[in-house]
Amino acid sequence: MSQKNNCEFCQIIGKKINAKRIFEDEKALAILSPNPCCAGHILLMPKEHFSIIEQVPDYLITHLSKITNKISIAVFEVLQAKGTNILIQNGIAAGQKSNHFMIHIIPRKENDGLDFQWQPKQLNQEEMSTIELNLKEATNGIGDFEKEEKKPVRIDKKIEKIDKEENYLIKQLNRIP
Amino acid sequence: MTTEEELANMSPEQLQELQKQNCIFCHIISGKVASKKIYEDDKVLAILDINPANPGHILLLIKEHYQVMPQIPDDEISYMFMVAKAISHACLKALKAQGTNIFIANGMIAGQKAPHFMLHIIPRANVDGIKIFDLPEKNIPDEVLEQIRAGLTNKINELLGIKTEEPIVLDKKPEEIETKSEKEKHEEEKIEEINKSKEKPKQEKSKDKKIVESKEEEEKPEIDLDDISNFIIKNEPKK
Repeated sequence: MSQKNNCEFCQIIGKKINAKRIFEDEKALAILSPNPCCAGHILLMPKEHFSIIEQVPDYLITHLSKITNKISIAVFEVLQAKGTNILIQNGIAAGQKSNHFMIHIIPRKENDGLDFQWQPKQLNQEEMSTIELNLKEATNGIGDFEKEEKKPVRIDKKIEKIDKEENYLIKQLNRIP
Repeated sequence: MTTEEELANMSPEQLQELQKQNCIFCHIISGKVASKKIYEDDKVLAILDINPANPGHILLLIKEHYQVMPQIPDDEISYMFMVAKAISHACLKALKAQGTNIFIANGMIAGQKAPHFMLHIIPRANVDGIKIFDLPEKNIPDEVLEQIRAGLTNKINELLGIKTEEPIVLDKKPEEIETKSEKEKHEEEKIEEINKSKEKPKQEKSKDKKIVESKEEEEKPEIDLDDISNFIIKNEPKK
C-alpha cells in the first residue's frame, strides 16, 4: 500500500496529479510523459500498480500491447513520425525510474537527437552456447498463458437484490400482528 | 538477381514475396540459416542475437513476414508480448540478470536494421555500461504538448472505436443545435407559409362571406322594409 501511495503514476491515475491524458479505459491509461525525451513521448501503464512486467498478468499484457499498437499507428498518422520505438525498462538496471510498470512509445523523426543503437559485444562460441542452454531450459514452460477471470460482479449484485427483497418481505411479515 | 526494371514492374504482392525470399530472418525461421534457438512455437521464434548489446540478447521473431508493427494483427502482437514477458522472466531466472529491456524499433529511423518485425529482449546488469535505454529529458513547451495531446486523443479513440466525451461532444453539439434550429426554422417557415396560404383564402372567403352577408343584410332590410311597409300599408287601411 505504501508503495502505491508514494507512486507518482498511481496518483496520476487517481487524478491527484494532473497529466496530459491521451487514452483511458478501465484497465489502462496513456499519458504524455511528464519528462519527455521528445515531443510525443507517451507512457502507457496499467491502472493497477505493478513494478515489473513479471507481475503483470498475461491478459493485461495482451490488452496493453493492443493499445500500444494503436497508439503507434496514431503517432505515425498524427505526428508524422517516420518511425517509433517501443521500450520497456524492467528494473533499475534497465533504466527504470518509476516504480510503476509502463510501456514507452517514442515517435521518431530525422535528427531528433535520440539514438538507440548499441555497440555489439563480442562473445565467444562457448559463452553463447552456455547462454543458449540456460535459456532453453528456462523457456520450457512458456505457452500456458493466464486468462482473465471473469469477475462475479453480476452475481454479487443479484444476491444483494435478493437480500434486500428478503429483508423487505421480512419487514412486511413483521408488520402483521 | 532481379533488375531495377523488373522491380518497378512488380505488384506489391510480388514485391512482398521477393522480400520474403531475401529476408535473412525468414531463412532463419525456415531453418535454411542456422541460429541459436531459445524458444519456438507455431507463431514465434526466439533466437540469440549474433551482435548482442549484452550477453543473452534475444530476438523474438514473428514467423509471418511483417516489416513494421502497424501491419501486424492485434492477436499476434499481444501473443508476442506475452512470450516476451515469459522470456524476460527466463532471463532474470537463468542468466541472473538484474533487469531486462524489451525494445522494438519500427522503421529505419528508429534503428530497425532488417525488414522483418522483431522484438528485442536484452538482459541487463547494473554495471553493463549500456546507456542508450536511459531516456534523456527535454523541455518541450506546454502548447506543443497540448496540441499533441488533442491530436492523439482523437486519433487513438477513433482507432479503438471509442467515443470521447471531451472534444467530439464539443464539436458535435453546436452542429446538432444548428441543424435542429435550422430544421426548426425551416419547419417554422413552412408552417408560416402554410398558415399564410391558409389564412389568405380564409380571409378572402371571410371577406366574400362578409360581403355576401353585408349584401344580404343590405338586401334583407330593403325587402323587409318594403314587405313590412307593404304589409303595414296594406294592413292599415284594412283596419
